Order: sequence, then C-alpha cells, then structure tokens
Amino acid sequence: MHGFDTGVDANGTPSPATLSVRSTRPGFQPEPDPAPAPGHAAPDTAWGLVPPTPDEVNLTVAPWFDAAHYHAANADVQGSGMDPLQHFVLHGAAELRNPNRWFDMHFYVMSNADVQSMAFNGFWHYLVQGRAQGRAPRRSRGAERQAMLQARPPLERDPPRPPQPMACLAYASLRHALQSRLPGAAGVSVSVSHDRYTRNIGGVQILVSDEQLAFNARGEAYLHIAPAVPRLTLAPEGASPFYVHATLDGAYVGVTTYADLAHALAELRPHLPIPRRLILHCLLGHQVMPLVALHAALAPPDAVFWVNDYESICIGYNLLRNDAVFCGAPPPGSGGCRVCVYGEEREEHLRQVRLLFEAVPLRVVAPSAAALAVWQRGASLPHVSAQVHEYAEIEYAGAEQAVIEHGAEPAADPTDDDPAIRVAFIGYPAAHKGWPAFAEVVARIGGMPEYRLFHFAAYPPAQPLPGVELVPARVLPGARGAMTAALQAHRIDLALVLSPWPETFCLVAYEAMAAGADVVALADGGNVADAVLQTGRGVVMDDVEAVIRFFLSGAAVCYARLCAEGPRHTGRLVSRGMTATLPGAA
Amino acid sequence: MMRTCCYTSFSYSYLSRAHVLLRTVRRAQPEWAVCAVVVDEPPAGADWAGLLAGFDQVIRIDDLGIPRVRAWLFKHDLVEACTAVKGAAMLRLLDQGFDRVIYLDPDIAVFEPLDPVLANLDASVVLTPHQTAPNHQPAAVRDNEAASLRYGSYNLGFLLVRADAAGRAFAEWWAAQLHAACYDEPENFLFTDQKCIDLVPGLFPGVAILRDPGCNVATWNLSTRTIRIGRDGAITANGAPLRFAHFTKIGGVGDVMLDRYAGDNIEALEVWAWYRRELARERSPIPAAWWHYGRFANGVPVTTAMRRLFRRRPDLIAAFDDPLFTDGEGYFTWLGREHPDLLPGALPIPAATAVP
Repeated sequence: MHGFDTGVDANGTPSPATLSVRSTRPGFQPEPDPAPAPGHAAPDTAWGLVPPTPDEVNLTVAPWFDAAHYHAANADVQGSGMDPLQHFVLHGAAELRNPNRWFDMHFYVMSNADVQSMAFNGFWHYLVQGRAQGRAPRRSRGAERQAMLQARPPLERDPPRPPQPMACLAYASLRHALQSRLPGAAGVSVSVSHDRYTRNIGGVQILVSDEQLAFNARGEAYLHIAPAVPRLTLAPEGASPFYVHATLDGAYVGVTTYADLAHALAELRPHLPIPRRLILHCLLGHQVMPLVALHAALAPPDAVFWVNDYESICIGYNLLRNDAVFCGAPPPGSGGCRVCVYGEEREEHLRQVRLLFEAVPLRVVAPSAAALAVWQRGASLPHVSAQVHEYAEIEYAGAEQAVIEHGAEPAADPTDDDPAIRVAFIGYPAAHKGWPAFAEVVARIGGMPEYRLFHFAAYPPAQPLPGVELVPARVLPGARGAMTAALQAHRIDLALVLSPWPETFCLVAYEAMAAGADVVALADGGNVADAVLQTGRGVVMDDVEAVIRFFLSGAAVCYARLCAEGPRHTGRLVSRGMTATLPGAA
Repeated sequence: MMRTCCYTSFSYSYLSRAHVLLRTVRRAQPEWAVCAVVVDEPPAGADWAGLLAGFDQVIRIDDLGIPRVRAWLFKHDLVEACTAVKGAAMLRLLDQGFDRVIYLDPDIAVFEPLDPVLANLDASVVLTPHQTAPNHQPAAVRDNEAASLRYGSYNLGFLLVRADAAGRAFAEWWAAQLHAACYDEPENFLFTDQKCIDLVPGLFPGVAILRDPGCNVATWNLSTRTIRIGRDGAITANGAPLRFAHFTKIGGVGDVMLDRYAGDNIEALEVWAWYRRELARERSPIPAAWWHYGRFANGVPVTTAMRRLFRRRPDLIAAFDDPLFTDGEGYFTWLGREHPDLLPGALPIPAATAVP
C-alpha cells in the first residue's frame, strides 16, 4: 500500500477531517470550499437586473439553445412551423419548457424565488447571472438520479435465452489444433474472459492481448476461451452443450464446447508442458461447473483469478448500487442490497462463484492495492493467496525499460495559443466511467472562457455534449499509445476521470498522466484516486458537486497554472504483461 | 412472548401493495400473525382464496357483524370504506386473544423489525405523527404541517393497540367513531379514521407518540428526514434504522411530493424505486381500479354525490338494504326518478314504483 493518508478509512468512508479537494501535488494549497449553492439557497438575488427585451434574450440564449431537442420534446411547436428559438423566447420559457437537455427550466424557476417573482426567462437569467452566482441549472446529483432511474435487474435486462444449436468444430479438428501446438510449447496457459479479445477493443481485451503476446514471446502457448453468447451475468446453469469461442495464440480456432475442450485437454495432458495455468479474467457469460471440469482436465499447478472488476463480490460487478452509488459491498441481504436491482440475484450469483473458488485453488491477483482492499473486504471466498500486480506503468521519457506495447508517435502540437484550460473526458461515454458526471460538469461550466472541453474517443457519443470538441482516438493493437499521443498533442491540462466506483486500475487515468495531464478523480474512484494521490498528479474530490465548484470557483485555473509552472512529465504507458510477469507463478 | 397480530385493510386494487406489505412483515417480524381485511369482492371467476393465500387470516366485510352492512357500506367511497372497517376489525382481533394488534396500511413496507422501538414504549396505544420536526420553508409548511392540521396530526397508516383496559377503551371508542362517520369531509372536521385521533392523547391514558425518524417515513416528512444507505448496507432515516416507509399515492400525487421533498436525496429515491419494482413484479390479476362496491349491479359507477346524498338521508338508509341492487325498486331506481341529475343521462330509467 502507499505510505500516505488518503483521508479514507478502512471502510472507504471519508474521515471527518477530509477536505473535499485533496491533492499531493507540491505547492497545492486547498482553498476553503465555497458553501454549496445549488438551488436551495441562492447566494444573491436577481434584483437589480433590468428585464431584457425579447431580442436581448434571443441573443443571449441562442448559442445554448438546442432546436432539435426542443422540437423533439415539443411536438406542438414542430407542428406549428414556428421557429423553435422564437417560440422558446416568446412562449416556451414562460411555460417552463426546457431549452436543451441540460437545463431544467421548471427546477430553476421553482427553486429560485427571485427569478420566479421577477418573471424572468429562467435560462436567460442563468446565463447572465445565475451561473456566476453558482446556481444549479438542474437538480444536483442528476447523474446518479438518472442512472438510478434507468437501473434494471440483470434478469430483466438480459433475460435467459433458450440455447441455440451452433455449428462447431469437429472434435478431431479441435484436438488436432491443440495437439499441433500445445505439447511442444514452453508452457500452456488457458485463459477465460467474457468475449473474443481479438475482435473487441477495450481495457480487458487489451490486457489479455498483452498477456498472450508476453507468453508467446517466451515460447508459451495461450489458449483463450470466451462464451459464444456473451452475457452480463454468469450463464444459467444447465444449458448444454455450452458453446465457446476458442482462440489459440491470437488466431481464432472456432466454436467448440466446454465438454470437447475438457476432453481434448485431458487426452493431451500427459504431453503438456509445465508451467501450466488456468487464468480467469472474467466469468461473465460462462458456466461455473464446466470451468471446474476444464480445470480438472488441464490439472494446472497454478490457477489465477484476476480482480479486473468485482464480479466475485456481486453480480453488479462495479459495486454501484442501482447503477448509481458505490455500495461498499455490504453483506448480501443487507438493506442496501434489498433495495438494489442487483440484490435479489446477488445471492445465487455468489453461490455459483463460491462453487468455483471452493473447487479450484485460486491465487487472487488484483491490479491495484485499492482493488485488493475492496476484494478482501467484500469477498469471503477461499483462496490460496492474494496479491497486487499492476497492469501497466508509465515509462517517462528517458527511462529504459522493456516494453510490450507499440506506441504511436504524438502528433505535432496544434498551433493554438488559446490560454483556456483544456479539460478532457477520455474513452467510451459509459456511466461507470463517469460520463454522466462529466455531462453534469459540462452543463455547469460549458461556455466559460476559462475552459475548453474535449472528448477523446474512438467513436462519437450517441448524444454529443454541446460545447465539447470530439477528438477521434482509438487504441488498437498496433497503436497502443494512440490515446496518450492524442491527449499530448492537444496539451490536455486536466482529465476528468470521474468513475463513481472503485476502479481496479483504469488505463485512461494512466494514459492521461503519461500525456502530461493531471487527473480529477472522485474519492470513491478506487485506484484512480490512489494513483492521483500517490503521484501528486491531480486532485481527488468527494463528489461531483465539489468538482463543479472546483471549476466554477476558478480553483481549477489556479491548479492548472500551478501544474504549468513545473515540467510537463510525459511518457508512455507500458503493459507489464499480466500473468506472464506475475511473481510466484508455479 | 407477546402475541402480535398485524392487519391491513384494502380492496383488491391494492392487492399488490398488500402482498408487498405481507412479504416485508414476514421478513422483519416472522412471528407476527398477519391478517387481511378485504372490503371487496373479486371479479367473477377469480379465486379470492388463492389471491389471499399468504395471509394467516382473512376477514371479509360480512364477517364483521356490522348490521345492514350493505347499506352501511354504501355510505362510503373506496378509501372511506377500507378505513371504516378498521375499528371493527381491531376489536375482533383483540377478542381473539392477541396481546397487541397493529394496523399497517397496505402501501407500507417494513424494512427492519419494529419490536426494538416498540419494546421501549409502555403504552396501550401507539401513534406516529405525520411530522416529527418543523418545516421552515413556506411551501413545505403548506404541504405538510397545514395538511396535518386539516387531515390529522397522526398518520393512521400505523396504529398499535394493546389488549389491556386502556387499549380496549380506545379501540371501542375509535370503532364507534368509524361506524358513525368515517368520511372524507374535512369541512366538517372529519377525515376518515384519522382526524378524530387528534383527541386521543387527551382522551385516553397510556398513549405513546412514536417519534422515531425511521418509522412511517413518507413524502409528508421527507423534507425533514434524510435517507442514507451506509457502506454496511444499513438504511437509515436521520441516522435511525429505517423500519417502515409509507408509499402514499405512489404513481400519483405522491410522485410529485417525492420529487419535491426527496430532492437530491438519491437514497430516498432508491427506496421508492424499489417499491415500484416490487409492485410491478406482483402482476396482479385484478383489473385496474376494480372495486366491487364501486358500481351498481347494472354496472353504472356509483359517484360520490350518490353516496353523500344517501348518507345524509336516514330515510334512504332505512329504505334500502342493498343500494347497489338495481332489479325492481331500489336506490338506483329511486335516483332515476328523484335525482336524475345524479345519473348518467343516457341510461333508461325504469318506470316509477313505490316511493320510499
């Protein structure tokens, strides 16, 4: 574990002395946190504002008005043929219709008595005065509220489907494929995860790919198994035969069954080399008992379970109660579990997980101390040992270290002398990656000249955020450094990595730091918060409201200037090879 | 051990809610007997015994010994009727030898055992106030305190009566009040079984006011109670374990009040969202808005005006044993002749017969 106080006690609860903004960056002086302003008690009044003319309102709100959204939400306006902005200015605002997705007119007017009594256009008031006064454009904790309202139990979200017969490899072909590679290899690893890592690109897929390359580099074979039908939960018991995709050393072998695989491995076992391992990266979509049978067939001296997420603690593998709030992994059946969409299915899920841990002697490996701490607190499963082994580390310029990745060269810096602080969201716009929280921040600081907002991602989001510049950046096997290079080229100052759950590692936080950016994290962000505090490369805050206040108050500008005073440390993220470099392997 | 019976009163349209209550009571207080008082008849072909199979005891309206029960029942709308029987049912259960009887509304869910807070009260009657802390915002005062002044300070979604002399005295008084006038007429200082309870701490000895913030959490007190869910999974209201919550008017005005007073208390919204999911999974076979006593035998809906006219007129009450009856002479026929303004215009009115 790191050697400093993160301000978080053993239960993950911030201690009373905790500041809402924490950083270990040298020279950082936390300013007193301004009193929360949103909605409940306006810090100032609208008295003194002169009622605007419709033309003045029009000019002010036009840049922030979303005509398409207004039309979609107001069929009567669309049917009338009237210009939507004109309608909003002349009628819609008084009728408390929303000008865009992020401003809640009803909430704003109803929670600001002065605005209501002056009969101002609430959106105009927000833009000319309310925002600077710290008033909220919509109810706080909106990101959590939205996630919570959309949460569904896994069985409802992903109901069991009847098994479909699939064309699969003849047993002889499977056996031939394995026989021609495994007996002569320097070692054999059988690896299990939720999808075909060679086809889909994401954090786990990248890491599995790195692991395969690392084993192959020393002559060991790497057989990967993924369920033919992906699921967000364990597969229901009983469906037989259970089909899986087999991939050998990165080359697709085909669809087979657990039973055929187990049979082939058992037949080949006398000829298989040591070291031999079973590596469990992700159980989603798999059945437990066939995995146990696979382990018996392979009879490996070593079996490793990676805490890439918390599927071994809860079927809600991010530990977000109702997809909204980090739950702390309370005991099954607790009040929190009872009101959670994952609570009811958690107990059966854990029964299955326990079967696996009881049948297979597993070494538990977490990619961070934060993840291991959560696992040890939340899981009570038998295991051989538990240890931390990081996915990757940043190799700063000048250091000499063996690398596995293929880094992309940073593009030339844009010739842009805009002094605004550059703030980025990195990656897929998912709730558990903090996208709704980023959207909350954008709603509050968008348009402020002090900040320029970016989204770095492989694909544009389904609902782009107004005022956020999209930068295409895609991490691929041949371009592992693409994200770091893109962030560096755009001279990003602050990356918002507002994951609301204890991230087990979080590659994007490291990519940001490797690009020279500092990271803004939430206290519940697990390894993101730990990494920020360990390196002094960012700030950690208790909640999204604190992040918003950090930006609205200008503290973010001061912080970014403090960063700019020192050298900009850049480098590249280097994979450690996962299980291939795990100490203590059999 | 104290023998406790918990009962609730409902029509079949609230069957889903009653099932959620039953499940949660069973979990929190498995030793309690749970009784359903049903003020309804199921749709034709429905298996009422099956619908109510989980309850230890079912009391139907005809079991309560109410004289000329159909005429008496007709004086009440749905909410009034389900409330009016609570007193008679309380007396009946006290007579069965239980040491204490607890009423819980069907739209309540129990999260934690109640015994830890009830054990500290040496009382014959236990009441829960709507509010246990003052509001300061004018709108909240209007929505909450003012409503309590109008409809009663204590929420009768919860009531405990012990089978001792003081408890029985109270129960008999209460049952008599409800038999006489369990009406939603705040203009006449009546609100079902609730408004008259304001008098109870003065009228009877042994009355305890349960002010625990974890009890009877509802939209009318969310403005002063904050729900939290700890990392240990414990749900609390103002720091006290959440024991039971009251999901009044969910899907209607309750949602507006929830939005207004839960605010950014996400954990409160989580609890309410859980309750909605629990209701949704019930998949009740009963048609929406079903109430057998809500229509005349010919299918015409009974309106509030028809009921109010009836209950104001002792002559009508005396004349019609079953006012829902529509063959031949009956209240429906009388209405068509004497008060056609109260009947839907398109209906054929039978020829005049004897005037009661």
